[in-house]
Amino acid sequence: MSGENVEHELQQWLDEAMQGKEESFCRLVDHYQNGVYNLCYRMLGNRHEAEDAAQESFWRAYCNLHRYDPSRSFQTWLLSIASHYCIDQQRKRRMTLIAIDEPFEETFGSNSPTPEHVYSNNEQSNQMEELINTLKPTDRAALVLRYWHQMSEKEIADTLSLSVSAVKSRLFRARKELAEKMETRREEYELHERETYEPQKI
Amino acid sequence: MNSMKGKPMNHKKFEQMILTPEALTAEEREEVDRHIATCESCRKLSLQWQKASRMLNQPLPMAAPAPGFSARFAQSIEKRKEAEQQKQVRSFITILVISLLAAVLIFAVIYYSTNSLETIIKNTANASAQMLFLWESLKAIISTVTGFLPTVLLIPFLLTAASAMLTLTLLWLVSIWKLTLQKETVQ
Repeated sequence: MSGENVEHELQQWLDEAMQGKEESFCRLVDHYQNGVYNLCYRMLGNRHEAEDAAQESFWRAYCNLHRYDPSRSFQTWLLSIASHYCIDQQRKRRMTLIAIDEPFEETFGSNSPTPEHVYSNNEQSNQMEELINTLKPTDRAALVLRYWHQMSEKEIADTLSLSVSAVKSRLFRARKELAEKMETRREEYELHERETYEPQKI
Repeated sequence: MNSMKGKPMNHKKFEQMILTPEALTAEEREEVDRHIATCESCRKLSLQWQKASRMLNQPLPMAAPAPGFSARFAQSIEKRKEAEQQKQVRSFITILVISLLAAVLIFAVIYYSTNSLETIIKNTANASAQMLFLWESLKAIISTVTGFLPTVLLIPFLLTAASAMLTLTLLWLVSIWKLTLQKETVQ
């Protein structure tokens, strides 16, 4: 099916859902589930919580469909609901750090790279995800939307209800923190390696 | 040694440029390169960011939910609707109770400030007896009605009954208050 047809179909489902057709909304859920789930998973770092958060986000969207402004992208609106929900959840839990010995569980979508590529990148991805988990909730959301969802600064600003300059400053802070933490992590790793493999002096 | 000591503003500017290289012009890039050659901390940050940026710019895996996500959502809609309805009923009842308490409080303040102690004791005893009788009658009515009403009609019935009760109570309070005022005017 061509991109234009998909767009047409999505618009039709959206119109029907806004008129109260539950089945059409469920079709929209089916189409947008990966994007929303991925955001929740990157934000919360836990499969079970991500499922709950994604389900709750879709439910909130369903209940507030009458407030949706059709001039905005529906996907951006959904991601906005999901990111605000996840930020609130994190603030409630006051969770800023996920245990380092608890790596992210991965499920790859249909657009996943080849198994060899996955294998070689997996370690790096886990390392990056662990570091991202130490960022402040809104900084993390900005970073996830920028690199996982390829959003522009303007789109991130719309999604997180921030100004573009606030997004720039959050991205700057997040990048700086990531770069610095990566270095710290590397030094810790090297020290650990030296201590583990250095021949013991008798 | 950090050559940028004593120039924090410049340093911040270069950090910004290092961490957003995509927004730089060719001239700005050269400026950053020149700065990095002389500033140890910015060179370190640049190297660190290059590594992090390489990781972030590689194809990042998208996490996908377990199969059947949309079916689970469809199944949950009815339960969620029911929960939402219960939540609304709870909110309505809470508002109702708060309004009732507020009305009673206002009435009590006005009543106690305009009557003598003897009248208050006498009237309170009478009112308590009446309330007790009313409560017993109400319990009997509710148990009879819930016995034969189907569950679907129970919530609308309770809501209507509660609204009617609130209105009647408010009317009762207002009429007692007006009567009290009239008695005082006659005396």
